[in-house]
Amino acid sequence: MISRDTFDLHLKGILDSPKSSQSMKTLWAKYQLAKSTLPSEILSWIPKTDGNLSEHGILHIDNVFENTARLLSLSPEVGVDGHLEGKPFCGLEIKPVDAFVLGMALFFHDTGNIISRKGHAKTGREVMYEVLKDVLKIDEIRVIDQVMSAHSGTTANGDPDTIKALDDAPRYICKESVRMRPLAALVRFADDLAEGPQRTSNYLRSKGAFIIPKLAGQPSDDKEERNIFHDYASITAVNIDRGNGRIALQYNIDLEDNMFDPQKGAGKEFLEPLLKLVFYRIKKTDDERRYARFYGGKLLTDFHTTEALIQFYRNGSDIETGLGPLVLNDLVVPPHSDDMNKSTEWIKNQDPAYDIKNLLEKVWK
Amino acid sequence: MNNKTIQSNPFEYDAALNLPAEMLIDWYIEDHNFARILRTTRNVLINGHRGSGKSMMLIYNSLRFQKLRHESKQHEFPPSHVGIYVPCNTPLTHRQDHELMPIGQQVALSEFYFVMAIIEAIAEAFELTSVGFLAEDYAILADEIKIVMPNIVINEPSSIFTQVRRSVKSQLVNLQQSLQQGIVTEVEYNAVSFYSLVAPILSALKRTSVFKNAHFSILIDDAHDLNSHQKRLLNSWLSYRDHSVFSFKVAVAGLRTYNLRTLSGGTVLEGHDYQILDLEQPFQSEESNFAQFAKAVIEQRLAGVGLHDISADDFFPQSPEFEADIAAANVAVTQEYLKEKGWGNPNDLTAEQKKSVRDYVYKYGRAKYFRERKAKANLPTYSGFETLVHLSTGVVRNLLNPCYQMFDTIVSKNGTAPDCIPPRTQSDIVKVKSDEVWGQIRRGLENIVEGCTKEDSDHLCNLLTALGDYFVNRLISHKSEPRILSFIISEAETENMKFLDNLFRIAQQAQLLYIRSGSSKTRGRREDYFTPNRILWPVLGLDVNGQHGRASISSRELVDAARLKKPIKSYTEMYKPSEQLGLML
Amino acid sequence: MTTTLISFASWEPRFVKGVTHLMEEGGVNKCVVVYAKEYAAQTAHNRYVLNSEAKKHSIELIEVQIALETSIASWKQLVQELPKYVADNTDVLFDITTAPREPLWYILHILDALGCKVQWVYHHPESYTKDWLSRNAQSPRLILKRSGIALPGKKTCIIALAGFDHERLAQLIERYEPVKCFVGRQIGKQLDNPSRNTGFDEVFVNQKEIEVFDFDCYDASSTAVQSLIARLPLDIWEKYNVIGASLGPKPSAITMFKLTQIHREMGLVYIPSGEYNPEYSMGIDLPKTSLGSLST
Repeated sequence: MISRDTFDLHLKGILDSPKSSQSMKTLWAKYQLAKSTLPSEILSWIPKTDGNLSEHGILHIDNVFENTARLLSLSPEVGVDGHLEGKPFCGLEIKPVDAFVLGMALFFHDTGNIISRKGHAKTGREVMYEVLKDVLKIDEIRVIDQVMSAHSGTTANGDPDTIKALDDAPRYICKESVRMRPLAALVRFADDLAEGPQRTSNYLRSKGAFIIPKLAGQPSDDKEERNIFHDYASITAVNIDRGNGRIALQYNIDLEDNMFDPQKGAGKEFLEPLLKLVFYRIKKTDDERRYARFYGGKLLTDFHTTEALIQFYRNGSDIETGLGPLVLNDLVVPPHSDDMNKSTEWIKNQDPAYDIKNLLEKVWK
Repeated sequence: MNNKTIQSNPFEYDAALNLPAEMLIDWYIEDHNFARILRTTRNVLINGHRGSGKSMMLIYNSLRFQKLRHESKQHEFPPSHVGIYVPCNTPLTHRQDHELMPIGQQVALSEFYFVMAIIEAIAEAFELTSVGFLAEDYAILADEIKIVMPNIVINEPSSIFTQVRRSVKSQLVNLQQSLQQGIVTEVEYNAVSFYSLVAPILSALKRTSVFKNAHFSILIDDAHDLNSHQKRLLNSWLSYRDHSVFSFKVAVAGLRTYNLRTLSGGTVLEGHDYQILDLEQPFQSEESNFAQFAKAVIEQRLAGVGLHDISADDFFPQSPEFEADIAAANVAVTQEYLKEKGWGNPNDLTAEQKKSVRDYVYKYGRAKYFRERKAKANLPTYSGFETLVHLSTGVVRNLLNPCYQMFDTIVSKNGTAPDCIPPRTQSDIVKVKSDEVWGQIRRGLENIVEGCTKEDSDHLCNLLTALGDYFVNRLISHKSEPRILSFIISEAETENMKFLDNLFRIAQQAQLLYIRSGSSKTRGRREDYFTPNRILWPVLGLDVNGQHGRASISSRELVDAARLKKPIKSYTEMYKPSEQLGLML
Repeated sequence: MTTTLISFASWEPRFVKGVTHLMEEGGVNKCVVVYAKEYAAQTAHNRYVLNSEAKKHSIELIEVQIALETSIASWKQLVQELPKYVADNTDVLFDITTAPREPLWYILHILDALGCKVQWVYHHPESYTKDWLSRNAQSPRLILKRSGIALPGKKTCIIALAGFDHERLAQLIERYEPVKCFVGRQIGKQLDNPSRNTGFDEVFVNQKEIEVFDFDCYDASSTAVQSLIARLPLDIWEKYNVIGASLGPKPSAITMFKLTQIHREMGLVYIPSGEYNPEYSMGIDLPKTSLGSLST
């Protein structure tokens, strides 16, 4: 079964095999060092800097590694010697240096959270530099930083298209080119899909621990807001199904008996904002999928569909709603219609400069 | 099964396929929830171990039986959901011919066999069942079949299904004959796929006047018997999204370990690609679906042999002495509780207090009886329909099997069919069966369960013995849930689970253990829980009725119990056991 | 006329004693010893001894290793190796004594396909162990190339020749859920047959779908095969998918193979064992040796 260790199995296979060069073996050693240092020094401390943050520590990083392995459909099969059976990275277009950069970016991408949540995609570089400055070369740090910094936030000029800002031309490590955009797409997508009960604590939720405190100046009779992101995490399951070209989201919403008292209205109060967040996240996941597919090249081209299914329970028993999966895909069926006006309007909406009337005016200026 | 009573013993439990049609129709009890799920246009995976009634359900919903039901019971015909029954536990499925092919052709041959079996099922269904096709309908079908089966010769459109069957037979015979020849394997056959052959024929059927509003359900039975390529093919078909014409209802024994991978390396997902219909239902209370279903099954069977108006409870009465003892224990426990709470007259209690008393009695009444039985007493009496339902552990065949033997015993003794089974007879049969099961476990399962070594057999014996002891200790000593007979596994470490999964597989195959899915304490999640076959417990003097709830046992304890014969202690160290009266340890 | 001797290696004394005896009788110029990879260590000593015996008699001895784990593995290995040592019209003496049934049937199929003239021989032991003989039964599987003609829409019928192991038969019935089953039960008092068969009656006699009759499984002559066919209803071949099992004494495997030569629609099924008792049998009872020809 694919697990967090599957990625490392392939990484070792590609960097530390008997046929690997010394420089690749050195990269493997650097990765091992990061792996031995990061969890104890950084990752296990991240949740403690901000108690309301859904899990961004070791569990989250493990989840992101596992997601990456699933996105690439890496085989978990090992031989009797415990080493990978078959070709590392299953014949995908991933070179040893790509794999190294990918692994390091996955490890460090959220470490900036130990400084603060805001801008953490950028501050991860500081952490990486501090932890591994005696080990990593400056060009290695630069490349890893570029790949991981694109996983969230915006560019310096506020553009959310963070991967576009990366060099399309390759950078070099150990004289080997690294294609940053596909790797950045992979890190970003794997991170976005790292959602589920492992990011929260059901015990603490049940004790009301995840409450967003009232801000100073807020009226005293305003209710404290429950941190709905923890509720979201608890109901979410993400299935990465490369073989069928889809990301399948499943939401299992279990309602307590007291939520069915219409007079109290607790049910609607709980469910409505949660469903809004669910719909928001479905759309976001689909957007991220398309974004990743655009920049991910052959690595992520298979993912043409996002599916979402919401199932409701009352104290563990199914509530039959007849709801089927919501399917969002990239299928465009060419229209049968010969109505050219529609196309004209559509083109204009993509880029106002392509307004026929204006164009004619410019031509006959 | 004894020949001389076979015609009159109402508790026959043969494989569904081997039952006469009229008997199956008479005996089948429809569950409304299951029927509703089967009649959707969605794909359904039906989970149920041997004896849970999967095959019977599918056969009952197949076209031939839909017609028979229409004739005998005026059920709807033509049906809105037409069932095409495709059995997979057949010599055709079990063939390994594809192994003789190069890797690339193995899938093609596997699909050929599978598709031919489905085509045969469709053709047989429509050949043997008159549905009222018009001449135009036959013309539609003939046109389509000539396209997808070019070598077929159709002289008379109304004989079209006969011709299809002949063509299928001819192709299969020719292929299999050539496979048997010589040493080198070179075969010629028209490779077909589901979408090149089955889907067009079903679409053509849907264009006929009879079925234009119908939906076709392809009822695949025993899908676990398919080879690995066929399973992946079927999963790929399950992920096909258009259900306007057909869908699949697939029966599997042991969905938990069933391979859900598709040919493209993807996975079919519950909810997205299929629904689950789980035949292994909760059975813990009289009101549970299974208990109601079991009652209906027994009463239907009794009516079939002329024993109308006899309820299952009356035919399998409880022992009056046992009932009186339980009642006395309940009264004693009630008194204890009222005293503890400081509540006076039971009639003066509020509704909430009364519920609290009832819950307390449910938990501790029977436990008190079983704990305080005399040390030298014989085993308790195991009788009464409710007890038989609990002993069945929610599997129909486990209910019918002892009932069959009880009936047989009385007939052998008296020469005539009984109008009830005396409690003593019931109890004797139950204890004999319990002994037999333990006898088989101690003799070794390595001779009867596939892939079970002597060591596995010993481990499993140790584990079941330890579980028995654990439940006994729990019954004696546990403060809050003494009568629990199911467990979940905590601290499920990978290596431990690997070891245990192998034992569980063997136990399931031997029908000693049932693994079910229930809601967990974590909202929205489900967890596996494990229920040993309750027929194991009479020889230990346990209360087979059990109670709601599941004990939590760590994987380490289970492994140690199996490997090292260590007792399962989870809680006994916390509670001092009282004198162990009347319980076999 | 020289003969190629084929045998299957085992740790049992009757393997090496039986093959040695056949070599001593003369007429054998080549001996092919097939052995299972899974039991290579257990059979090593006997194979070594046999090698020495072969040298003494100036007989060329060839060893062929096969894997028993899967049907296709053993089939492919036998198909690759055997034709090197036997050809069209070769006289073959096949010592089936210690051959597991699946490779036994594959060897017979290959020899038949190559047009060889096959005689078979079976050496009886002096006694069997009183303990278990085999255990850890695996999943039954149909024999490649001899899977019969199976058609959808037909129910299943089993024909079995059974000996001690009624649990194997029960396993087969449980697996295939036949609508009809015909069981030839081994007759006679040899080798504790009556006491070992005590479970048989309880489980099978008087079961509605199972017809039991007495049969001499050691007799694999054409007459015996015809008498078996005579026991069976004429219409079973058309009406059912028929599967044949040899669960009794080894010569019953010859009987069932011959049955498939007459009724090609019958498939052969094999239930592999994961473990065999190292003390499976003792000694050899040469005077009792069974032999026959493969021709129907």
